[in-house]
Amino acid sequence: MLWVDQHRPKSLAGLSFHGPLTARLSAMGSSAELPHLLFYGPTGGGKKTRCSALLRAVYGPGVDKLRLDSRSFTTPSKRTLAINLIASAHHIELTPSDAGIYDRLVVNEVIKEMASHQAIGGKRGFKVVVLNDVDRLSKQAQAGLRRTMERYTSSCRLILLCSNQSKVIEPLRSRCLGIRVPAPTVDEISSVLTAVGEKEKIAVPPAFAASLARNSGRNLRRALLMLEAAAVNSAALTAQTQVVKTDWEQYIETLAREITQEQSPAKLLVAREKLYELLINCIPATVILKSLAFHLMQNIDDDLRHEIISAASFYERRLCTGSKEIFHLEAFVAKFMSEYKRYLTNMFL
Amino acid sequence: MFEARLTNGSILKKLLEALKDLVTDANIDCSADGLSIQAMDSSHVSLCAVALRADGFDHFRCDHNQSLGFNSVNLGKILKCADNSDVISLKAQDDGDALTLMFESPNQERISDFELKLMDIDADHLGIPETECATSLGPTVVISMSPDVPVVVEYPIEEIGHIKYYLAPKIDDADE
Repeated sequence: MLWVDQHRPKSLAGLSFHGPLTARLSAMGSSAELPHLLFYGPTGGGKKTRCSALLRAVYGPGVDKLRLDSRSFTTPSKRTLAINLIASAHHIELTPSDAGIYDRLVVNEVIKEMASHQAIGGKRGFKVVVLNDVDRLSKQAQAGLRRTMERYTSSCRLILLCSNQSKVIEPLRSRCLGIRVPAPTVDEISSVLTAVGEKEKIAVPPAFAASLARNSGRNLRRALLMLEAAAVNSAALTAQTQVVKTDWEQYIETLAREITQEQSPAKLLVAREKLYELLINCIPATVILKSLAFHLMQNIDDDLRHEIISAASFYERRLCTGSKEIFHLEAFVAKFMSEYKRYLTNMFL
Repeated sequence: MFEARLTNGSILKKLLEALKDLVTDANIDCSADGLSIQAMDSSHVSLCAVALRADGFDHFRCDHNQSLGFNSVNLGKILKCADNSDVISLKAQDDGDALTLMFESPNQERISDFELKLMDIDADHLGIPETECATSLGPTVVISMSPDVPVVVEYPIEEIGHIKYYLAPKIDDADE
């Protein structure tokens, strides 16, 4: 098991940072009433961990016993889709945006069915449904969710998790208690890394921990993964140990360099291969687009930067509304190539 | 070590038929008192609870309390291979990972052996409060209903136990 998952605190008492937030969550866990909640904040800050710890405080250790289930449903176009959900005896957790453009169906059928029936057994009169990535839900799905939240409060409480609150519609936000889980500071990450190192019997020098914490972009999950990768790569960690970047990041960096060096249809085909490689390895298309855009920006002049960024945001929007990701990623690469080529030709005229 | 032998094998067959549409995976909890299964469907709308007492079996032995996790589709397929008149025997080792089923035809001319790998299913047991108003619709089913509490439909199984279905009440729209 990865260190990230092994050393994740299971109860509110085990959390090591964001003290005032933990106090609020404990108060909520021990009271009889639980409102609808919206956990928001940057990725790797501990939203999911705190959500599970809160559920444990509400329902007891039974929530840790999880099973994976899959629900299938038919779309109007007669396609059958299956969506995975994780359930314990007291709560169900799912990611409705995994259904892509059919997320509205998931909300209106699956979630409404769960919410509209009372909880069977259990000490509290309500069950909890945890929804991940609500900011990736379409507007219609979010609107459907709003009615469900309003009507079935007595039998079902919803806990929504998202990174960006602005993508959640206002009516949904107003029906929940918003809980902000900020990114941990570099010092907090370093102390967590040292604590994990102690548990794994590996000496983590403070300077190394600090450099890892800085390189992770204040994302604790990433920092722990980088620590594990470093520990596996070198026998002993010192202050001088190299911080290894993840291989997909290096791959995207190489791709960016290649596109900047040569702009041609042949290169576009090479880029297509690389993009497919990344997609096959389950790197989300939005992550690919963002990293590629940022790496490209570093290599070009200021004049061109705003064109590239507006193209990137245009294709990112297309990624969310479309159904096949490779089209839009390749379109962005082609757009960059044509803009850059035009810029270079104009420079020499 | 868990062993159970049931002369009336059709009981197990029908039980699994009844379960497999509702739940995909469940645990058989064996103790010295008998077998019990408690499983919720994936939407947490209904709960199915089966209890089979040890004295209803011809031979029942359970040394330690064990939970055998099974996939209901697979177990259903295995039980389809048994005739209604077969004698069914179940066996499981203490730390083993498989459940052995043996079907013997009544005149001993056919014996089938099946082994089903078990799954690791972690599930909490839910305590359900008893309902008060029970009406027996006849010798075969008892329905209990109370406002705001799950409906219980109970089918006793001859001499050996019962199977109960709990159905969660749907929330009424206040403005209808």
